[in-house]
This record gives sequence, structure tokens and C-alpha cells, in this order.
Amino acid sequence: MKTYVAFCPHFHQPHFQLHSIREEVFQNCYLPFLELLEEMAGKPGFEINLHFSGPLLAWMAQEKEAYVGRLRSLLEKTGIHLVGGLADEAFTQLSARPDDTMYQVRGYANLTARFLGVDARDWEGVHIVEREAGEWALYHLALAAGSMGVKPVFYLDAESFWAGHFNYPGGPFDYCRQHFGFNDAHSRTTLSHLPPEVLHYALRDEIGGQEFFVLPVHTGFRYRLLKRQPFGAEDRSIIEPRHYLFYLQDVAEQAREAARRLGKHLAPVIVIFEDAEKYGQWSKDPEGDRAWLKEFFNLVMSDPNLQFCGLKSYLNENGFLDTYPVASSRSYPEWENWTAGRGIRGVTYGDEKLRKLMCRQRDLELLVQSIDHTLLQKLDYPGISPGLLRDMVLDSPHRFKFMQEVLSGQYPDRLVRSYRVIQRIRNAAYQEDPRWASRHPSYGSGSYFDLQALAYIELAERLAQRFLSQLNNSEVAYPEVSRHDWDRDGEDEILVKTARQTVIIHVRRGQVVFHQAIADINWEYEDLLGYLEQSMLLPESYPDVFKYSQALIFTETDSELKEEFYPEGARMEYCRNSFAEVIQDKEGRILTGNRGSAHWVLEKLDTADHKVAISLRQSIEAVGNKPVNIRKVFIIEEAAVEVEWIVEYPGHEDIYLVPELVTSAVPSDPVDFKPCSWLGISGGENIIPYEIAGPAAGRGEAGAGWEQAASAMDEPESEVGGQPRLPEPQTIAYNYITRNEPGAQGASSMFWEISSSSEMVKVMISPAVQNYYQGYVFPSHSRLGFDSSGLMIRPQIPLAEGGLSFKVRWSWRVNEGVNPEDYPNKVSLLGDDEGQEL
Amino acid sequence: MLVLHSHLPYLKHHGEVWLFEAMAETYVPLVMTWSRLLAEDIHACVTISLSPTLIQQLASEYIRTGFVQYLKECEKKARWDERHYLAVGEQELARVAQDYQRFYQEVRRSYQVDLGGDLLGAFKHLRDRVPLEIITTAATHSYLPLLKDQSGLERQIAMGKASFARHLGFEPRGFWLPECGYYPGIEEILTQHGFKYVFVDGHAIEGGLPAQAFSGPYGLSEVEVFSETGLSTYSPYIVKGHELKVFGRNAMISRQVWSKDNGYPGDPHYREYHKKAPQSGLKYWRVTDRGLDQSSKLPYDRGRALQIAGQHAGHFVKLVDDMLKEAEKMGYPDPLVVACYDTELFGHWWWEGVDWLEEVARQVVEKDNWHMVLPGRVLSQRSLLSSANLFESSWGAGGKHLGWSNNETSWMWETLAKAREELSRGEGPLSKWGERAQQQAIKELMLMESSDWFFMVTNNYTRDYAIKRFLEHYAKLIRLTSLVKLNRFDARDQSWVMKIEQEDKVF
Repeated sequence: MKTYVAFCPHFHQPHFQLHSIREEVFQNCYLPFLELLEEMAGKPGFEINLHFSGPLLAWMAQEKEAYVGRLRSLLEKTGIHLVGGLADEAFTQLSARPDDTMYQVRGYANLTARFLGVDARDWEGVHIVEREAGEWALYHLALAAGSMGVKPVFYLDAESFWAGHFNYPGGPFDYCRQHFGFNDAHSRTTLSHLPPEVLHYALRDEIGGQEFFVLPVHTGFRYRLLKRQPFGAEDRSIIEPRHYLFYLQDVAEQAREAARRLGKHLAPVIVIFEDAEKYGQWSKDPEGDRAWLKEFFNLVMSDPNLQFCGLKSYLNENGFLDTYPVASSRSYPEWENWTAGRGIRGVTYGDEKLRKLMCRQRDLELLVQSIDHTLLQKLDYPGISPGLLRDMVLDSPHRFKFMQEVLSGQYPDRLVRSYRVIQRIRNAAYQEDPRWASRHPSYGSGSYFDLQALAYIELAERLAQRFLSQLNNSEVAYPEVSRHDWDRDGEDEILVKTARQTVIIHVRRGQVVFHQAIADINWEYEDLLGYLEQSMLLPESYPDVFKYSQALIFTETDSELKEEFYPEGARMEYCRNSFAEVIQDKEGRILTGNRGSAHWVLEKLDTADHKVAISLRQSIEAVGNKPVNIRKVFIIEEAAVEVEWIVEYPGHEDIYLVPELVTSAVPSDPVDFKPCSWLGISGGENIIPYEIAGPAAGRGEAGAGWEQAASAMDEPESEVGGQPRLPEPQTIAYNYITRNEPGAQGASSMFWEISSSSEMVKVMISPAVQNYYQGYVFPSHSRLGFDSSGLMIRPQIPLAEGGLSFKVRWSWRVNEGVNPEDYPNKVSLLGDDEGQEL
Repeated sequence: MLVLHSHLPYLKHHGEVWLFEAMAETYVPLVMTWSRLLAEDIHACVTISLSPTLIQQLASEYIRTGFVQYLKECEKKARWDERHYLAVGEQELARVAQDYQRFYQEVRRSYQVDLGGDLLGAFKHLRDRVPLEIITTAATHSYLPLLKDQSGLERQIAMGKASFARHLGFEPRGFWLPECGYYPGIEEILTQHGFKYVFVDGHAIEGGLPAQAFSGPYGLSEVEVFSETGLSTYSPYIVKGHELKVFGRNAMISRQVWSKDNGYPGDPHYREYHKKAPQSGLKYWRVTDRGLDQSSKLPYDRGRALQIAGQHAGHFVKLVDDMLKEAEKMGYPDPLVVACYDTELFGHWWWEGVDWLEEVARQVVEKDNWHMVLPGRVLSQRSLLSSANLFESSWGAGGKHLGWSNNETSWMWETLAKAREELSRGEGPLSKWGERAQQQAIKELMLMESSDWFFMVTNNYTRDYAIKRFLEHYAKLIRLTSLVKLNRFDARDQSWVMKIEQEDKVF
């Protein structure tokens, strides 16, 4: 009896991936892999199941047209199969809308039909993003696939979806013991189990009546594939193709033996699933990997007992072993440790920063829901109540398609197009990488991807607002103010939208927790729509969206701001937000403030003269039993935020107010990795010390460059240790360069205009966050700098003898830099002199 | 100088599990480790002694096939253990069972795919590529000082060498004295057979208290104290009045690894050898505390144990480093530290031992003031050696013959003498079957002479098995010599002789 081998490489790069990375992986992996496949295609017995993610396909279609043409030709050959998937490699289980999976699958079908000439019905299976599949995802994927005539054949990890799980009296799941204190003698698992060695057959399952088939992936085959190097002292093994063949033969023998015990005489299938980038890119040795893989292919093809196969082809020819439900709602084994078994939803909502992105997604989704409500209310289906119609449509997996059809013909074309592009942007923002990579211990921060998504979400939201106002025959009026639990943490935020910003203030914590700025452009509707269409319908390889919108406060969680509950793991880590404050003593020790326990009370929320005023107060038992009473007033203007601290302190202790002026905006240079930013400082006669702190060595070249350059360039009175003495600031300007694509760059800037009733003692300048998840991720990932976490400015002002008033007005210029000559005092944060001249 | 002496008695058809265990746990991992080091361009010099009984068994198709089956059985046992431990909530033990599955599968893969089922070939292959010297020992590993029979001595040495050369394709230059058992006079026979050097225990050269003075069941009163000679194991010598060269085993280095009280293998994190799972016989616990009873042992954690092995390797390398510096101060300009161990200590007895050896090799390669050497190379570089009178000695308890000759084994030596006598009574020309029976009787005698049985009886270590084997071979010898005397072989006799020839085909 033959054993089938389904070889399934997965090719993926996310939307907005850096230029250099894409080009490198293309040269190291995608091109040589294609060449190898071209050589193998048509050889007797060679079959392969390829999956190219939607974002990668979109990029290739724009940047590597010839490659796509060759791939298209290759796919016409016998045995070269394509596996379907999702248009944006999206975690649709995070979405609020059940129709997004359908949209994603259909979107991917469009991509493969358009660029590769492969009809969805010819897919050999459907790739599940990161094999992260709870019941919700499996149901919707099976439904979407089925509706398009695609056989729902998936591959999932054997170790997690069918892991052995046994209960026994007194065990951790003996709830009798847990609740009543004695063992339940009958607390034993009765469910039938299959052993791991038999999980080399197709298995059937169904959820909500949706049938699907799964071919289990065994992790061992992933890790041993192309394992040409030791993993360090823990595993020094090197796997050669003949070793790999041994494992295949061994597993096949065990699978057949195990199946025979079940009375089944089926040919087993071994699924080899792995990221394609392991070939060439991980090793940086495409030639060596090519030789390995080719030898392996030939070994399998010359083995009379082994045969390559397609996923669906195997199933069609051999059938399935049995209906054997997956242990759903588990993620795959790699994730179990760092997600605490809570999967990607746990990762996303368990992290303050990632949650903010999700909440911005929800803002847009609510707006689209309002659009849908409005459109549905205008529909008239005799005999069907509007409420029933609305509920049917909103819950339907065909919601988007239905609404598109409602719009088409009855409404202006621009609204149809707008609806489509908003849907596109919303879906693209669910792509896996930012969430997967951001908090995975091995991958570090993926902020770059989220920042672009946030910019598009902001623009899409503005478009949606106009869309809705057109439906309602009204005008969009700013400022918009609302108070509700925006980030679903059980407490209220105040959201203020003006024409040029979205600002969100956490009331109890008295901080700006999110801020998105918009460039000073008065878009015509058609211009905004046109830009988004051109940029996102087929996501641009190197978009310039930062010219139009930037998240200015969307900072990482900070390991300094954490609460630990368990000695060896769990903790809460808060984001470093802006306009928080601490009270310090003269030694610099923090007496109070800026932890999760801050407790501001809202006094007043007013709107007048197109400005929103928010007044908060807090009384702190700070020092010597004398309370520190603080009133903090936020004034939100169209393109500025003003914050005033009015502090009363009747005591005489030597203590200080230290406001934290934070931005997450950073220079970016995805091409050459030479980010550039600097501060311009203007002030009066009073010269004070500036403490410029930062990582001893930042990340890569940029950080190292900073260390060298982080000193005053024009130092009127330079002091010990290279730390400058500069005028007490009246204005601090922050200028940062953004290179969005090869050859194109621009500068943006922001300003803190400061007035204080007392003279500052010093100003501290540092990266906004210097470490996140410290001790939990690799040190090189944990460490952040001016290039990756933004900037924090902390003036120190004495409080003794009555208190003080400290006011800062914060404004910005998106895509507009500052003339260095306007600032006699400059501090370089990143980059060189040449860069600053921009 | 690292010298690993590899020997197991003849076990084929007599319960091969012991051999399979050593193959799986020691020989295959050792060969794979040295191959890996070689692939990383780490040339770690090691002298391997292969006993003729081991060589014959490793070459046997019966053993090769049986070994693969054995490994599959072990994997299966580990798989069932894993399920059992999962079912009763013993997650840590289930994880160890997983490790065992992986281990046995990897050994099987290495044996079948990398070594082509040919361990001897693998040793030869390594000899051709790395600084590896392969030597041999007495044919059935008899304890030579007590053999008291010139023809027997001749047989042990000549047949051992011939067997080695037949299987490995070259002649050995070095001879491993079984149990480091030396007596004055053996040099002549060894030299006659072309051997250039031997290894003895340190006190044979230096005198003083032997390294094994305080181990074993004997009081100090039974230990011979050798007079100090002023010589040292930091240098090789030429045996006075002979051509044979001799290397002395370094006592401190030996004790550091071997000692059950202070040696590395007794670390609480290492795998406990004696406690076995009732279902499979696999070992799931760690030493924990040597004073604890077996029921109190904690689950084994391989990751942690390997960390400790790394630390112990560092300690060992530093120890050698310090010792060499000290030797230089003592006036040895190019000092030598000779570390001799039974190969089976590593992996089979001390589960992490091969990992430890690998780590030692990796750390030594980083040293720039000393390196690992081979005996042949040392001798070729040192033309002028001092001569030494050696004490009659061994590496066993008491430093002499006590481990093999004592009240417990006196009857065995008497039986051996009788057997020799029986064998010598054959007269006149023999028929073809008579010749065959005579030859087989000699093999049975040689199998009786294995030092293993004496050691096992002395130390009460699988004593019943040792006595059974000793007497079985004696009984066969008696029947064979009786047939020889009669010199008449009917069909049943011939069939029996053929059966015994297959059963005990030691050469």
C-alpha cells in the first residue's frame, strides 16, 4: 500500500512589508523556489500544494509581474496545485462581522483567478491563517468555501487539534474534588481517542452542519524539513534528505499498523506543511536548500511506496478515516505557551496597544453598521418587517455582497465605490502579522504594519462619515464628542474628533491614550475616495499614507509601567500614554502617579467655539500628609491639544511635578534603515540641564547612530557627560523624516509650546518606551529607542510653596517639516547632519 | 589522552538486551557525536579499545537485525508509557516517555541510515577521518594475571588480535590489559605479537595507595600499599628491560568521573539508573538524592540534566587544566593526563555521559595551551622514554586481584583449572568432527575465562546470570571434550556440535 506525501509550502509577506525584506526574500526564496518547481514540474510522480498569501500575491502582481506570469504557467502543469486562502491573510476571528470570512475567501478567489488563472473550484484545499482555528473560524471557512464550490479541505496541527487528553479521579478536571474536596471515582474520560500515529489520514468533521475535512500536520515534519543547521546546544542534529525519508517511512509504517487495528485499509497521507521562506531565506543559502529539497523530492519519487499528492486529490481517491471532531478553540502548539491557550483573541485583547487598534477597527465597523442600518431602513420589501430584514442582513455571511447590490443601481456610483474601499481597508487591517508578530517572543514589535493600517482606518472613517451624511442629507460637523467605554476596559473614555484629529482620553487615568492626526488637506470627496481606491483596492506595495494621516499617540506598553501578579509570568503592562504626570522627590523617586491606579474625576465636559474642554481633578496624599490637588484641563482645538496642570500643594517638601509629553511618532526608513529625527528648542534666558536618556545601544544601526549623535549640536554651555545645558524650553519642536518608498521621503513635525508659573529644574528626554515585555521576549526585541518607540519629554517643575500652573499646547504638521534654522538649539536624536537638513 | 575501553562479554544467544542497551545508549550516540564533531571540524582525539567479543557481536547479522527490532520495541514501550502517564496525569513522566520515543527513533535512524547498520564500519570510518586510534584486548577479556597458563595467555592475545584484524582490516598497535591487569612477564607475549603499548593503573607506575583502595566490599586491611617510586603518570614509560611502552591511568581524573560518591554521575539531576518503570523497564526518574529510597525519586528533566553536564564538562576541563599546570611546575615539560574509562559508562550507566563527553571535546578545542592526544602519536614524538618497573596490579578494588580472586570466586578458578585439564587430555589424531569439537571446546574455555563472570560474582551484580553462563560453558566443554575423547560422532552429536558452534561463535 502506498503512502501519500502532501507537500505544502506556504509563501507569505504581509501588506506594507519593508522594501528590503521583500526584495531579499524574493531573491533568496521565491525566485529559486520557482526555478526548482519549474525543473520538477512534469516529472513523473511530482506533486506539490502551493499557497501564496493574498498580501504577497498582491505585491507580486504589482512588482514582479514576470514572476507571476511564470507561476501562472507553472500552475497549468500537472501536479502543481494551488491551495486557497484569505485575501489579506486575516485573522477573521477578530472581526465583528461574520461576513468577513466570506469576503476574504471571495477576495482570494478573485486574486487567484485574476493573476494566476486558477478558479477557486480547482483549489486543492484552503489554508487557515496560522492554523488558528476555533469553531467560529472553521464554520465560516467551511461555509464560505462551500458557497463557492470549493471543497473545504484544511490542514491543522495534529498535536493541538487531536492532542491526547485524559481525565482521571483526583486529576485537574475532577470537579468533584475541586468543589467538594473528594475524588470522583467516575471522573474518567470516556470519549474515544485515536493515537497520534493514526492521525495520518483525512478526518471529517462538521460544525453547525458545515462539513469539512482535515489532513493533520505533524510538527516534527515541519521542523525537520531543511534542517541543515543545528539549533544550538539544545539540538545539534542536522537532517539530511535520507533522514527525512526515514521518518516518512517510519511514520507511514506506524500509521498503517494503527489503521489496521481499526480495520481500515487506507493509504495514509503525510502532510508536510512549512513556511516556504525556510527555503533560502532563513538559511540565506538558497543553493544548499535547493540541493536538499531536490534530493528529497527525488528520494520520494523513486521510492515505490511513497507518492506525492494533492490535498483534495488524496481525499477524493482515498476518502477519510472517520468523523473525528477537532479539539476546537485551540491554537497550534507553538502558541500555547505565550498565548496562555487563549489564542490570537487573547493576544490581541490582552495587550493594551493591540486592543487600541481593534477598537479603532470597531469604530469603523460601527460607522459602517450605521450606513447599513440607514440603507436597510430605506429598503421596502413588502411583508418583511424592517427589523427582521436588518437582522437577517447584518448576521448574514453575505452581508457585504447584499449591501453592495443594494447600493448598486440605486445610489451614486461613488457610494458603491466608497462602500467597497472601506470594506477593503477594514479587512486588510485584520491581516495576521501585526498581532502575531507584535507579541510573539521571537518576533518583536510589528508596529510598522499597524501604523499604516491605523492611517487607512482614519481616512476610511472620514470617508464613511461623509458617506453617512450624504445618505442622511446632512453635513459632517466637528468637533464630535462622545463619552463611552471605547477600549472595553470597563471604564469611560472621551472621544473627540475634529477635522484634523481623533483624540481619545481615558478619564480615570487622565491621559491621552490614542491620537491620530490628519494632514491639513481639504479633501474633496472624490479625491479622498480616489486616493483610497488607488492605494488599497489592490494594496499598494509602498503606500504613502503617512503623508495624510499619522498615529501620534499609539505607544508600546512599557515594562516600567507594569503590575506583576505572579512571580514567574503573568503581569499587566500599561502603555506609555501622553499627558500623564508623576510627582517626584528631589532624588527623582516617583512618589505617585502614572500607574494603572491613577484616579482622575471628570469635573466638566464642554464644547464651545469649536473647542472641547475637559476638566479633571485629582487629590493625592503625596508627602508629609499634605495633599497635592491637581486640576488638569484639556482643550481640544481643531489641530491642537492644550493641557494645563493647576497644582495646589500647601506643603514645603522639595517635590516636583513631572508631566509626561509623549508621542509614538518615529522616523521611518524601510529602505535603508537610517531613520532621522531631531529636536529644536527655543526658550528664554534661563539655562537648565537637559538629561537625554536612551538605550546604551539601540536596535541596529539606528540606535548606534543615536548614541553617537545624542548630544546637543550647538551646545551653548555643554556640561559633564555630554549632557547639554540649554534654555528652559518655551517651544520644543520634533522633526522626523519618513521614507515611504524607495527614493521618496518627507518630514513631519510637532510642537510643544510650554508656559510655566515656576522655573523648570531640568528637562528629561528619552525614548517613549525603552523596554517592553522586558524579560519575556528576546532582549533585542524588548529594547526600544527613538527609532521604534517615539519620544517622551519630561520637564521637572518644583511644587513647593503653593503649587504651580503648567501649560502645554501640542500641535503638529503632517508631512511638513521644520526649518532647522528657526531653532538655535537642536538635539539630534537619530541620523546625521545631512539628514537634518531636510 | 582519552581512552575508552569498550567491552561486553559474549551475549549473543544468551540474552542480548545488555548488548543492545550499550549499542543504543553508548556506541551509536558516541559514534554520531564524534561524526557531528568532525562535521563541525572539531577533531577530538580519542583512543577506543574494542574487545574481540564485542567486535564479533557488532559484526553479526543476527545482532544487527535484532538491534533494530529492539529499538522499535523500546519506542513502542515508551509510547505506551506516555499514554499510561498521560492517562494518570503524570505529565512530567509522559514528557520523559516522549523523550525516549524520540531518542530510540533517532538511534534507529542513525544506525540504519547514517551507519548503514554497521557500527564497526563506523568506527573504521571515523578512524580514517579523525584522530582516532583503535586498539584491542584479550580475546574473551580474561583476567590475564591469574590465567597461569602460557598457552591460554597466548590464545587470548593471539586470537584477540586475529579477530580484531579480520573484522577491522588492520593490526592494532595498542593492547588494553583487561581490567588494567598487569603482571611482570606479560610484556614478552605482547611484544611478540607486535603490540607497542599498554595502559596500567596509576599505582602500577607511581606506587602508593591504589585509586580503588576504598571502593568495593573490602576493608583497608586487604589493600596492598605499593611503595612509592617517584615516577608519575604525567609521562609514558618503557617497561624496564622490554620494548613495550606503558601509559599510567591518572587516578584523580578517573575518580572524578567514576566515583560513586563524588563522581559526576551521582549528581541529583542526572537520570537514576536503578529505578525502572514497572511496565517498560525504562527509567523516568533522576538521582534526586542518593540517600533516598527509590519511591521518593523525582521525575527526570533532561534539559536541566544537560545543563549540569555542561557545567561538569567545564569543571573537568578546568581540572585537567590545573593538573597540567601543576605537572609543569613539578618538572614535566610536556605533561600527559591519561583518562581511561569503560566506554559503557557513558550513556549506558551515566545517561548524560555522551553529552558530557561532547561538551568536554567542544571545550577542549577552545584551549590553546593543551589538546587531546593519541598514544601512538605521543610515542612517535617522544623517542627517549624513561624506563619503569611496574607493580603487579589492576584497576580493581584493592589495586590488585581482589576483584576477581576472592572467597566468592575461588570455586570458579578451581573449575577453570579442571576445564583446562579436561581440554589437555585429548590424544591422538582426531576426525573432522573431533577437530571441530576440540576447537569449540577451546572457545568454551575461553568464554569461561571472561573476567566479567568473576567480577559479577564478586560484586553480586547479576551474579546468577554470571554463574549460569560460567557453568553452561563448562558443561559444554565437558561434553565436547568427552566427545573428543571418544572421537565418535553420531548424527545427534554432530547436530549438537553444530548448534553449539552457532551459539558460541565467538570467533
